[in-house]
Amino acid sequence: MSDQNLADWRKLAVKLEAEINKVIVGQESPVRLITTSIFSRGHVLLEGDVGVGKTTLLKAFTRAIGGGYQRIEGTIDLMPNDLIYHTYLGEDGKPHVSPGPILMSGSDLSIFFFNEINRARPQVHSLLLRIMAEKTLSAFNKEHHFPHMVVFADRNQVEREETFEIPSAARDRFMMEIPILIPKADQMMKDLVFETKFHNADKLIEEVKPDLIKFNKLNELSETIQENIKATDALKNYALRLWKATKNPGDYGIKLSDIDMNRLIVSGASPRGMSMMMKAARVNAWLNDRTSVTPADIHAVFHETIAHRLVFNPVYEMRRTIIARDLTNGILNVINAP
Amino acid sequence: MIMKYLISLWMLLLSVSSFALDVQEWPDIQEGIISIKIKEPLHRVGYTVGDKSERHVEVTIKKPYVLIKESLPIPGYERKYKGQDLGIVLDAMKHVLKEDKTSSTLIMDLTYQIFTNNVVAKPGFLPAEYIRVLNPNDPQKKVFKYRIPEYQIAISPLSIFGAIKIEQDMSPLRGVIFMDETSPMKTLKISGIIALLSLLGLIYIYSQYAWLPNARGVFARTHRSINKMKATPTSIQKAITDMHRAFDLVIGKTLFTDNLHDLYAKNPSFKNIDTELREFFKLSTLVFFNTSNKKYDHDEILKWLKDFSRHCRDCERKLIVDKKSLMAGLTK
Repeated sequence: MSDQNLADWRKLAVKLEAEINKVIVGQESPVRLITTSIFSRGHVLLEGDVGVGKTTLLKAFTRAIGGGYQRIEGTIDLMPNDLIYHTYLGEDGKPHVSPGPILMSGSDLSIFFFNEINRARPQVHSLLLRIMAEKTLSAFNKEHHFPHMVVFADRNQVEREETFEIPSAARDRFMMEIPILIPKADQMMKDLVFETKFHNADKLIEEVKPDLIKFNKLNELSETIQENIKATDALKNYALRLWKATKNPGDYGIKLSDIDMNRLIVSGASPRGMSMMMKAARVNAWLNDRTSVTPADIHAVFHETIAHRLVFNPVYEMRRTIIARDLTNGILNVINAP
Repeated sequence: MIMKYLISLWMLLLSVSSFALDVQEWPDIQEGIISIKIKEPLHRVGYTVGDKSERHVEVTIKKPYVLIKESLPIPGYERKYKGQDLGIVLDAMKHVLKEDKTSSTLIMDLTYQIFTNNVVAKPGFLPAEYIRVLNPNDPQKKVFKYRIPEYQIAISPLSIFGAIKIEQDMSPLRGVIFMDETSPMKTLKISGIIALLSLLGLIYIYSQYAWLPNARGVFARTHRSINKMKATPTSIQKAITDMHRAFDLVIGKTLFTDNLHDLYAKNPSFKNIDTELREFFKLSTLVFFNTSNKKYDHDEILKWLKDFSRHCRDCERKLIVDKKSLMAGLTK
């Protein structure tokens, strides 16, 4: 893929963002981050209250990039096979088997949304994580491939009962955890409540131009972006210092109030996590029409790609969201670049 | 035999000539020709071996009489009293001879040192000195002597007779045994002069480089260091890094374009150079993170950095930077 093609693709990516921002108001930052994850082919954890528009957001993206969109609700009695098939008695009175959400779109599956993933049992997590990693599934004596699939999973952060926290090893498979928050501007809040066009999500999504991007070209494009966007030694050193700081923040003079920095971190960012962070940073550089990664690109994705991977001491786990935000901010504030 | 006789004769002649010298007498000068003022030592008692005592003597000789300089007291000359060494020696003598129309004045500072002691107190004296004068107009060149009177003192034993521990002898009749303070005083004066010169030097250095308010500020220092740099790729990288460090120090965290507002909140003067600040970050990205092989004019970049660091220094001093002097477009 030539530089000219990359430039053309960038225009399309920018157009994609504009299309999404047309229907999803006040979510420019999450839209940019989801765009980044789509072009870097990374799975995403979505964090946010109910009813903030996560499903609408993902549907809008699916419409713009094409391919299949499937969704499943996490429940305590959900079993792994519920993702693959479901059985029912047909009109003919005989039992029938039809494909579950994973298989329904076949290899064209582009976005799979797992709502409230932490309500599902670990067995379900296990299956999903395998599909995420290998993008294949053996079922009905056949190997099914999902080469274009990107998983979006939502965690219910409010309720703790009857939930199964996703283990750190599973969280590490997700490229990003993106917070979806209610817009803060009064006018936007009014629009969301009083503008009737926001009341019907399906109709709203129809405003997005369909198949703006060919979903089946994204894997190749992603590789091209990663090959073409360079990183200098200065930037590599900067990323290395950031990585080390996630392991021992206290050694770098990072202090958080009421936190024992020597006990906070059980495990810092993993090599996979850092490589995912750099992947996302490269895409961010490309989206900003740069040929090399700058610290600003890392900053744009650092919290979202690193925070969910950090393993905290159980004492601090209940305050993870706040502590992780403060910690990543602290790291970026303290580590000098270049 | 003859030789023995000759030697005896020679020794006799020698002894006669020395006797002649000793017994040579000059008449006293008549009264009214010479007047004298003496400033005697502060105390008369308590002297012991090693002590020094000073006399200040001013002798005024009316003209036409003049002083015979060879008659001045000679330091180190051992005096005798009743055939025995006196034990008080003239250690030093400083003199000045002042002339005017009617008289000449001899000013002498005589320092005597005590070299005697006894188990009990004994009298002693700073010996009398003789000077000689003559009238040059006198065809006979007759010489007269003038006696500077002696000064009675008492020499104390080092301790009460029989006492071994001197600290038990606290006799108020004996003066304090002073150490010779001349040498420490000299050292003190020299040290004082060196300290004063050092202070003046420091004031000079400080005034040369740091007399302005905030001249010790981080941007002032950074600007000075950048000003000394030469236009090489390494220096440019160092200059940019130094500027980054300076910004980081000011806001207490790493400054990037997305948190410039923190800098403005800390020091609103920087708002005036917003365009240059953004240009600086572009330049930093260009230098450290751009992989293109495009060549840049290092002289131009360094010149820009010098101006930029000066503007930052001015902002640090809360001065208003003239916006006309801002330069953008370097990284285009």
